[in-house]
Amino acid sequence: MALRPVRAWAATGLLNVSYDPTRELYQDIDRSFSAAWARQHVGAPVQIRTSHGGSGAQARSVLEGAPADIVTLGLAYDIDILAQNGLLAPDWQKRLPHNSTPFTSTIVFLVRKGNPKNIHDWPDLIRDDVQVITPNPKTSGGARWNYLAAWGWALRQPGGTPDKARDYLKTLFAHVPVLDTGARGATNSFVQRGLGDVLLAWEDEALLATRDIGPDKFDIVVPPLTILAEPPVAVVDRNVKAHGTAEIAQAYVEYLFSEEGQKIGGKHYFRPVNPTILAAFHDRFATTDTFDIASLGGWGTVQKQHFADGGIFDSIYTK
Amino acid sequence: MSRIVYALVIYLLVTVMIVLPPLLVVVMALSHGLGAAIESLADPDALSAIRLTVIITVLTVCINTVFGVMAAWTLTHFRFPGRNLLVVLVELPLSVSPVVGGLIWLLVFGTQGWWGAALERWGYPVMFAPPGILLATLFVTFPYVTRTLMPMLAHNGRAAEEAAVLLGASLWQVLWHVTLPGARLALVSGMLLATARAMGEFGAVSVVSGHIPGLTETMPLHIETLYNGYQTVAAFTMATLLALMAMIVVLVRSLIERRLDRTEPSI
Amino acid sequence: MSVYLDHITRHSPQGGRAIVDDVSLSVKDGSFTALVGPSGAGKTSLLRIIAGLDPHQRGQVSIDGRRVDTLGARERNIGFVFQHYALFAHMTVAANIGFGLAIRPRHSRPGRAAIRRRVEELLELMQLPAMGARYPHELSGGQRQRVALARALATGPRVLLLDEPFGALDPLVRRQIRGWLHNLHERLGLTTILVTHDRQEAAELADTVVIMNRGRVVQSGTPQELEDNPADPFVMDFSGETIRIAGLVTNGRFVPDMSDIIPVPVALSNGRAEILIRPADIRLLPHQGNAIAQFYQRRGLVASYKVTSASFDGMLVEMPADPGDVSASIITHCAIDISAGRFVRDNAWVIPGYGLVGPVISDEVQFLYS
Repeated sequence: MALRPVRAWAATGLLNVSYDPTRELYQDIDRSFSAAWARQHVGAPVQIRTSHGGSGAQARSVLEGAPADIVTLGLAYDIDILAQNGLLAPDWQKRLPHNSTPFTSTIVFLVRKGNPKNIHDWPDLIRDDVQVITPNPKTSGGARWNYLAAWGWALRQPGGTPDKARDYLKTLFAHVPVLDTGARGATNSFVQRGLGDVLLAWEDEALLATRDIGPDKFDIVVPPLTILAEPPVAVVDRNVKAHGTAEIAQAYVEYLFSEEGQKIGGKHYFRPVNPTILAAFHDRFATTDTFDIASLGGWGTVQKQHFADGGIFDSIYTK
Repeated sequence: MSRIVYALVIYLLVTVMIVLPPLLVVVMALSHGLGAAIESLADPDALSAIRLTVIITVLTVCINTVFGVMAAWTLTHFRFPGRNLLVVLVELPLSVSPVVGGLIWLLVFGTQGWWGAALERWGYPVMFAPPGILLATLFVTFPYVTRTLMPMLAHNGRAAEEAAVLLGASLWQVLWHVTLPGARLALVSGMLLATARAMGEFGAVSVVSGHIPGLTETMPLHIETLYNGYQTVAAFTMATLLALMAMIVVLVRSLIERRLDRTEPSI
Repeated sequence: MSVYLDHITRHSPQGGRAIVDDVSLSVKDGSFTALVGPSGAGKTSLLRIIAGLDPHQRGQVSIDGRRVDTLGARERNIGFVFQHYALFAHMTVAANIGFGLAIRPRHSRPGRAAIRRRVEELLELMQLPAMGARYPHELSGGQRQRVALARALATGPRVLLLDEPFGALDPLVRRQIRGWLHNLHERLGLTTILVTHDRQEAAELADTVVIMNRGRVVQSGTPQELEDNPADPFVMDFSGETIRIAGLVTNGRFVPDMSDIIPVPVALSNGRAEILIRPADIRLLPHQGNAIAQFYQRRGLVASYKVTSASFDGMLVEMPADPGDVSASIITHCAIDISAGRFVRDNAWVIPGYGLVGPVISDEVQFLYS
């Protein structure tokens, strides 16, 4: 029974291949979506499974054949790669509202309780007495957001140039003692192993750490300027066609934008894109200035410029 | 006097390095009481991981025992061109990183690989499904039966087999009544080694699994998922169970090894 | 059953030289034949070819007039005893002995009771009563060898092949089991071929001794024939104790290099030569030289002396003994006579017909009986 073909379950089930910090979010979403689906389609219960890992690694396994019906990854670039290989339509991002992004997030600083190192803004991270925890941007989607937040901030400083931004990042990564491969690994290093003074993290991950994992151990510092992270979702056309799950997969991604789905997102510290529901959660999300990926040239440009072999990240980290 | 000092140092070393860490795992598992630990094992995904691990282990050990006996018998009984190369190749999975052991199957059976697209079209995807996990586990455990059996067969020599043939035994009768019983302790020892490795394999399986809870997660993978999901009790309970299973295997094996040393004289 | 080997040749698997080189041999029904020779002579290979354990490239093997080399080892019904017994370590003695019967296909397999009876019978014959429940490692070497023999006999083989069966036993046990094997052969009359490197063992057990060297049969015959008429220096060396004395032939006289050995007249061209002689054929000549002979031991009417001279030390020589006590005797001023020996040059007898030289041997040795 364990060796039956995957298609046998795929017909009645749904696989969401997601990235690292969404475990708690999708556990909740899956439960509430299947209940909603069962109410509308009597006698056709659906089993949803979600797999988690680094965003890039997850995209890679879908590319190699992991039977994902839906991908909910850390950044649009990872889904673009699937589109380039024909797993879904090139215009996938236009098929759902808000650039296919049901929830946004930002990059914030997680510090030890009482902020003993007095960290408030990006320049504080490169002080001599500060150690920074962030995962490897080559393997982790979250880390790319961290990196780009710092890059964007440096560019926007008075007299900011790409060269100056590069120098800032070089100094910043000299303060990083360990490079974990994924966002969850970096969080574990900071929270459970006690490494470093500040963790660059998804806002949702930071809030989860302060509220649920280590209450009274951490504080969140929201820098005055940071990036607007937009982790998108998509239906994997080729797989749902093979599994016969197109209808339910579409229902699933649309559910994320529904009132109920948006509320669950807010509950798990993701910023709902629905303004009404975001307002309901206003007490947990600090207001701050943000810039988006488009302002840096979009993922295609950014990936080539910074993270490809021989890109800016290689030049600042190896030398 | 110095003997006692040495012994104490070793005791300390073993305690700190080998006894304490698993003990901490057990302590963590029981941090919310035995009830919570047992309850965490009743989770459908946990049960599925245990079931998958047991099925994969049993299949792996059966298949690799058959292959291993064939390989060991052929390699010890015949001299042929390329034999030495084969002996080296049999050991390859021991020295190759398990991640590579997983990636090679991805290259063969992944949708970007040689056969993957065709297999998926027929509805039998191998990667990110239990067959892929089986293949990856088979690869990493391939050497164990062969390598433990070969020295024993070489040591036993061919005379007993030849004696059996001259008494009228067929090839199958020789293998079943003479060769394998003559090396039975080595065979069982190799099978147990393969069992322990198959149960605990993470790297190779991780590459081909897809980490789908309840479907393609073995116990080691599920432990990682639980741990990353901050489900500490569940993660450490599963880890305790896996460690317990491994300990039983190691215990049985050491008992057998002791018998192997004591009896089984060369006649 | 008779065994007939016709021009058998076997090359080593790596190619190269022949391990068994064009050997023909006829073993008559009920005989006890010993294959003797130094290690590497091809004796064991020949035995394994007969059993079907090793292949041969040329020639034929026949048993009782029927070719058997087209049959596999398991179909030849040959009893084989290995040097290191090759018992099944995980089976009891009884299971070892009964193995050949128990694995037969159902239609020809004797019942359990019949097998048990046969095993009991063989244990009795091997003088191993009440050993059936033991395991091989609980037995002594001699006992294991008898179990191996019982196992080989259980299926009623046509021929019994023994490969250095006493090689791993200590000398005392060896002599015991040798005598016992001799009796067994007398009782069963089973055609037996024994491989050994020990010529005394061969002489004691076999009615026919075949001497092999470098893959070939050098000579065969009864032990006495070989002792008396060695076909060449190698056989002489191998078939009994032999002393070699080197010297120079000058003008019809062989002058030994060592002093106090009497020169021997010989019709041979000038140059180096050797005399090979059995110790029993050496004579001591009193009052002829400067050697000193000291009494060593006495066997019946023959006393042996240790002879020492300026050029040699402690050569053993036999002489008819006086009826009286010679135990303290020392003979001074004596010399040694080796005229009963055989001349050798270039590793071959140089004077056919001289002394006790035997017939010239052809490659193909025919037994008197065949």
